[in-house]
Amino acid sequence: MGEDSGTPAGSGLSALAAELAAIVGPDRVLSDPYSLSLYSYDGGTDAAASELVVIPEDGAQLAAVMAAVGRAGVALIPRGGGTGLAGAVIPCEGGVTISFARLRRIVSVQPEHLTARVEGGVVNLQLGRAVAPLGLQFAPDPSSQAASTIGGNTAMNAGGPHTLAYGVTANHILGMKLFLADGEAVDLGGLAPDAPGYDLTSLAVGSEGTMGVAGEIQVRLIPRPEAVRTMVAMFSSVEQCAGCVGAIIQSGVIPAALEMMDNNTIRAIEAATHAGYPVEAEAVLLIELEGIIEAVETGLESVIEICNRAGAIELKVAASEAERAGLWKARKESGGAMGRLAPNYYVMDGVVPRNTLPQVLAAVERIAAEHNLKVATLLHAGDGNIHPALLFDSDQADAIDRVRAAGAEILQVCLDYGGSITGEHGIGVEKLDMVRRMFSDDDLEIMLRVRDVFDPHRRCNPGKLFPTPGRCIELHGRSLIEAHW
Amino acid sequence: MSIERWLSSGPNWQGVSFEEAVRLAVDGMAPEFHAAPLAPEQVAATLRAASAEGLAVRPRGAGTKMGLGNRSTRYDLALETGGLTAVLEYRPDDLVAVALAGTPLAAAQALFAEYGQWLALDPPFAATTTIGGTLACNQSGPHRLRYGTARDLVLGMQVAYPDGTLARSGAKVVKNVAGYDVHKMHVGALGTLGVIVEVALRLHPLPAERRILACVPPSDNPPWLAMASVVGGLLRLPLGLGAIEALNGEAGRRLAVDGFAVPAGDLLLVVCEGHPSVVGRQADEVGRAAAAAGLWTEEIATGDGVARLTAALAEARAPGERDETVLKLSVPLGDTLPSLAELATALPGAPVIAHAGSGVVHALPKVATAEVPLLVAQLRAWARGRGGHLVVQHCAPEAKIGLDVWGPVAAPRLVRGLKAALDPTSTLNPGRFVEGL
Repeated sequence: MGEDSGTPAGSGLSALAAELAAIVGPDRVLSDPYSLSLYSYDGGTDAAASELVVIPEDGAQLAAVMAAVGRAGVALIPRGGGTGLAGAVIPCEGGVTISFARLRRIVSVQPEHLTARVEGGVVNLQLGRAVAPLGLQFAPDPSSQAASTIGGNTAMNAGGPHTLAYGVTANHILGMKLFLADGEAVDLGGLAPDAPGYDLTSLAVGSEGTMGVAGEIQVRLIPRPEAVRTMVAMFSSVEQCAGCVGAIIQSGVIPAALEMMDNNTIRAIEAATHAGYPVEAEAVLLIELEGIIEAVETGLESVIEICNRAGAIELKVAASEAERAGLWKARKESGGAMGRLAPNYYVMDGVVPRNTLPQVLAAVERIAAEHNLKVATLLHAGDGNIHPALLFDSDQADAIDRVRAAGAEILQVCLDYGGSITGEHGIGVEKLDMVRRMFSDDDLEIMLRVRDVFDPHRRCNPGKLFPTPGRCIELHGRSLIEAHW
Repeated sequence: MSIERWLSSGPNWQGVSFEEAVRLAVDGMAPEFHAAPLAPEQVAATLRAASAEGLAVRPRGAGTKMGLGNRSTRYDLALETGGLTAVLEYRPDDLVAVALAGTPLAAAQALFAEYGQWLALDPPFAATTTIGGTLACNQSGPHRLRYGTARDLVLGMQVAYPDGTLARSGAKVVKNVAGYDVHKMHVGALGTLGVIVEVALRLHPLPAERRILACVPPSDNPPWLAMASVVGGLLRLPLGLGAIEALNGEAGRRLAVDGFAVPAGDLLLVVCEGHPSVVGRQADEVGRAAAAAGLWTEEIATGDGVARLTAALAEARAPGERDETVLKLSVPLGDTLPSLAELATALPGAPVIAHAGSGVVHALPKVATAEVPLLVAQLRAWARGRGGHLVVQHCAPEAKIGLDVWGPVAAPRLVRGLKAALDPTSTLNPGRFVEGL
């Protein structure tokens, strides 16, 4: 990397680049066009050129970097694994991208307090592996967990298949060291609960890096389950399958995960992985129960009974750990498998009340058809979090326009049913056009007042989350192609 | 009166009678006016008018926690939320409900219970408190072990601000990452940034079976080390226990619940809940962990008795009389039992009771009013030495003079900035919150 660095492409940043180089070393400050292009996009569809990238090595360097960037008064964009799908880390207003790639230390694990403190760049799965020998886990498990960071998970309030039973990232963050735009660090929350004052920790989680940059994060750990059972229920209609979700939710059984896939999704992942999903089913539920053996066995019994009552045509309980792992591997790699259905696809993220899933999924099908698009839908059904993938061929002239139009209509349906325009991917830049459909000017005005307390000059991750008059981003070369769940 | 007429009918408040002044007085201060809006728009209009007139407003639900906080510097208008009473939406098959802030918690729970569900909060004053008051004061109870606190259960909110803005955050679905979670900032903000008018809540299924087990140490041994090992062991298993409470003998005597024989002396009370086979396993594990530490286990409540006893456990932290001092200390989770032990020793005769799996200890010292500030200073220093906090939940009004019931906060500049940004006229609860805000 070092030989690639040169003088900053952006004007006015060369003094800062020199200052940063003195802190982190010249080969950890990137400013040549090739390197910058690598930091111009995330896992989504938007891109914007970076001006400067800095890669601090440890907490001391991060503090010095933040102080220098604060003094320079330029925009700053924190970047974790770059796995987000909403463009929340693209440097759409220039400035300095602060990469957490090397801030990967697990600062402490305190099993007696059921907590760990980690640097923001610690990868989700890395933390999981580190605490597993203690019988503990960090519950949030976004599908990107092999690459996404705790800092990124925190900034975006990441979800995942297992949030149904354990909650999203916000429920597992106890505190953080937050660097503000001027370089000041504040320690929020901590080991002791219920700190007096406003709950700034909860406010900062999910703020998409617009309040500050989390250098270290205090996370909650929970005991690992002693038993796990996984089953697949097959249905001959999407409607029956979706109705079964509501029945399970109301039954009082809380599965650890309750995922739904439609026939297009099933065929794609089965062709890619041969995990054993039934390609003849119109829809399936992937249901997992976790906990103590008794909870898992009685929960499984109840779920099987509910599925049968809801009209499931076949039930299959994973007989071995290998079979279970295969089902999940296929599910988590479903993004890549979509490539078998169409040259391009666009993954959406919306939420609806769980009792409305049958109507909402019917509406999704209808909207896709009206725009001459195929759709493959996957849902964190237990949370009402739908991920329709609109399938298309970008060689067709108007394809992207049709995808965008259909996407907006689908999110409007989510809102019409009382839901949300994003359950876990975030607003980023992707959904700036949709924000005003969900929030009024007054709602946004209050949020902006809050933001301005943390970041009065709006230098932290500018251009994200809040709709602004002009958009500064462009679709990059891979547009709408490789997005995955 | 229609909303339109109410809004156009001049001042949105009335003078208070002598009786009302007595009822609404807090810390020896009585308001000159009171308002009882019937809709969120009326709350916003009242706040805007009060802010313009320079009146200091104290929002009030059922009035059960008016003594929480520092002495207000001004108190002109009592804004009562009792007219904002309705469960606006309830979707049992989505486990979500939306309610106006003045809705009595007990009434909402009764509705949810008809569908085998509940809002998993079991705070003090549960019989009388409102949903809005519970959230504004961030009240919780024994079940916080399993379900978390209000911030984990609030999905969205509508809030009225002093400039008359009515604004929402969050959503009415269980998963949502659009916009800032402003609603979580209002949890525990004591109505100092805005008045909560409507909340969307995540509900949970009521467990099929509940039991409470008491783990009792032998009387001739110092019990706390053994109790700590029981708690530590249970927390490392994925049992899904409802609650683990630790209390000394004095706290046990406060559990005046008809029909229960709570063993005398220091003990643990463990709430087992779930499917009957799950409860059976939980009880086995509790018994095993207790026996290994030399404690004996006894089942002391089943069925409806469990809810009554857990309510009593929450209520044991509520002040029983005007001048009673209630201290809430929070410490890192693993230090809960040692902290309880030190407090019980340092405060002879005081009931001391802990959410043993959450790092929260309440102590109710028998202390003369004049001695409260010194005791608070000493214990706060001790708590902070452990990385924790001490908040005075209640004390004699006279004891609050010269006392900061909250103690230091993190990021005071941000805290002050939020107040200045959202309540620049210091209309809401002036002086009552942290940092003299």
